[in-house]
Amino acid sequence: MCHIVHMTPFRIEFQPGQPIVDQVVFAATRAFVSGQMLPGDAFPSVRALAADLRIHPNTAHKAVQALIREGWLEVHPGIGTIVAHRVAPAGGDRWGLLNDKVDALVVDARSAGISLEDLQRVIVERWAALDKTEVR
Amino acid sequence: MIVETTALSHMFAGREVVRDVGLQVPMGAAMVLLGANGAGKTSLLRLLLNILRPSKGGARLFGRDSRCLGPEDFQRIGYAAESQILPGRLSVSAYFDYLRPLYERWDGALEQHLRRHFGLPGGQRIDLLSHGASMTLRLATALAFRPTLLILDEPLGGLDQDVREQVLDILIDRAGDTTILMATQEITDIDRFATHVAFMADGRLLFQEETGTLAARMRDVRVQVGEMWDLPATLPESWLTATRTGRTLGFIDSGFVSEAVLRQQLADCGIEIGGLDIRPLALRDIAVPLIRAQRGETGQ
Amino acid sequence: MTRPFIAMRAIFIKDMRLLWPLMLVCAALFLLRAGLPGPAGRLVETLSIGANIFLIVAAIQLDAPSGLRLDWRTRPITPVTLLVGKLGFLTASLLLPSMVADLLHDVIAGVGPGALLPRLLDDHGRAVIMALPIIAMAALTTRLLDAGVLGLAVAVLNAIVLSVMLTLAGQSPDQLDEQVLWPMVPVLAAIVAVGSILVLWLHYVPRREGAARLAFGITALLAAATQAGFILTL
Repeated sequence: MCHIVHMTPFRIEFQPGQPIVDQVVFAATRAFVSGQMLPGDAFPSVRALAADLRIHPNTAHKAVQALIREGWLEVHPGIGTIVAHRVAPAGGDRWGLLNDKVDALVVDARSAGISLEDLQRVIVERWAALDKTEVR
Repeated sequence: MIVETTALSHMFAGREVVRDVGLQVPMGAAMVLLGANGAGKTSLLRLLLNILRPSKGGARLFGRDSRCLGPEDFQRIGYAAESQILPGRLSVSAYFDYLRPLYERWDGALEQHLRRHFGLPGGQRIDLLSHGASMTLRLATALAFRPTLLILDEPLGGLDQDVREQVLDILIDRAGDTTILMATQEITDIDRFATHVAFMADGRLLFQEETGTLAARMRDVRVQVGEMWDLPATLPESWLTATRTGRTLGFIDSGFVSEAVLRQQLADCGIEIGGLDIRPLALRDIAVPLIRAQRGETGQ
Repeated sequence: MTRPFIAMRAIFIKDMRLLWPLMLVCAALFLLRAGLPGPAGRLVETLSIGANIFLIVAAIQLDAPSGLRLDWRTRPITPVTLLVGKLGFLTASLLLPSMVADLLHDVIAGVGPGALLPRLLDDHGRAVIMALPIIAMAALTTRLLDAGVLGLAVAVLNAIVLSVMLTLAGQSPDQLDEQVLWPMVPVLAAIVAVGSILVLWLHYVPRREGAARLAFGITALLAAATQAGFILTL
């Protein structure tokens, strides 16, 4: 029996309570911003992504579509889907939804009794951790 | 909708085993039909397939009344069930030989792929196959003609882990072409694959929705109670299986929106919150409390 | 080839692959039966009838029309295709071999060419009518044992009705000259044939199992009543 192992070049530990699409998009985005996947790299096909992550092909398709919409991926007919040379959105767009997320983070941190210093330290650590994974 | 039922009911031995079911399976979905033994899942599937006839209401597949399903329809409906009786004294190969000419769109290459993938021995007599091999044979014969709708009844029941994974691999592989409706009690491996979840209890369809929204509204809640009190007589209906052990109140919130809303609900019930722990639930952890809640075990 | 025909052929081949040993036994018994005279012939005749009934019930019940768990119900096969396929299989595996065997025997025994066909049609016409209620009983049940119990129940009930009636008519069942009963045979055969065909039609075409059972019961009652009525007129 032959079993083709597809290697999706990013890691996902699926968490309950969150839509699968969002989790895949997040994990892929993380791989892009950390440099784990670079512009020009081939991105797995929908079939390969579904088989590897054990998710429904429609879900994989939705994730890929979302990544294309956000400019992370490009479809090249005949070649497949590759990581795009992405230009970060300019000006006000840059913050977009992030403002809400920071608000939520600050509220959650304060309600959990976490100090501003601790929160800042953790953010700095995580920021650096993403850069470290750049080594491939 | 590839499958649509309205007020579908079925009487058996004076009892309504399927009651007023309005099921809707969208094209391309992989719907998991959950429910305890005897919840009516198997009867519902048999109604869809024209094996049973509705006593009330009706079902439509591809827009066609289930009572009128004929050979043309079974050219594109694959069905595999644990309970199906196969011609036991035929060999695996002879069974495929029998089925192949029946289908217009039988795909020989896909048949070979499925037989290799599941490691089905061609010369083996069907009644001498292991339980797992017999189930994968049913699945292979339900898939080799590239059906547009695949209906499965307990396809994973009693299978070894490696066989379950083989089955899941094939379902993922075929899901792009095929809408899947799968009755099951075991959702451990398929919770990521399912796009929709329907839940039956006591013949009724309690809900059907996308897996994402279900996951979003279900939370396991634990409240540390400030001081001794009795559970209020009425809790919100969306709180399932509420139990109190010592100073902890635990329940499944099936209508979770946000922590703020939940705190307000707790306050409205006169519950003083000492500490609050809210956790998301995996699909497999959702089924058990739902079944229990349906049986009326509230633990009070 | 049209779809229904392809399906019939597939069912036919599948049934042959499953039942060929029994088919061979039946064919061998036909040849023996035609050739053996006297008590040995009667024994072979009984064996042959038993094997034929077994083959009929097995062929029908491999894809029983009733029952919720049978494979054919969710395959592209209509019940009518299935019934025609099964009848074709029984024709090929029982009717044709027995006709060939009897024809061979008649030719060897020197029966004149003019008499061959009438003999053949008379004997096998009767055999077909006898087979019809057996096919109906096999179709109404899903297991060999159930079919056997049903057949036995009908036979026993019929025998009881018959002996009660004979007693009422002042005839001793033991001393009855069977010749007396001959005139009622065509009527009885017609009732059984029509009733059995109705049972099969109801069961396979509009798929009304309850109605088919009812039709079977009524046929059995009518058959018994015909016999009873006939005896009372003696």
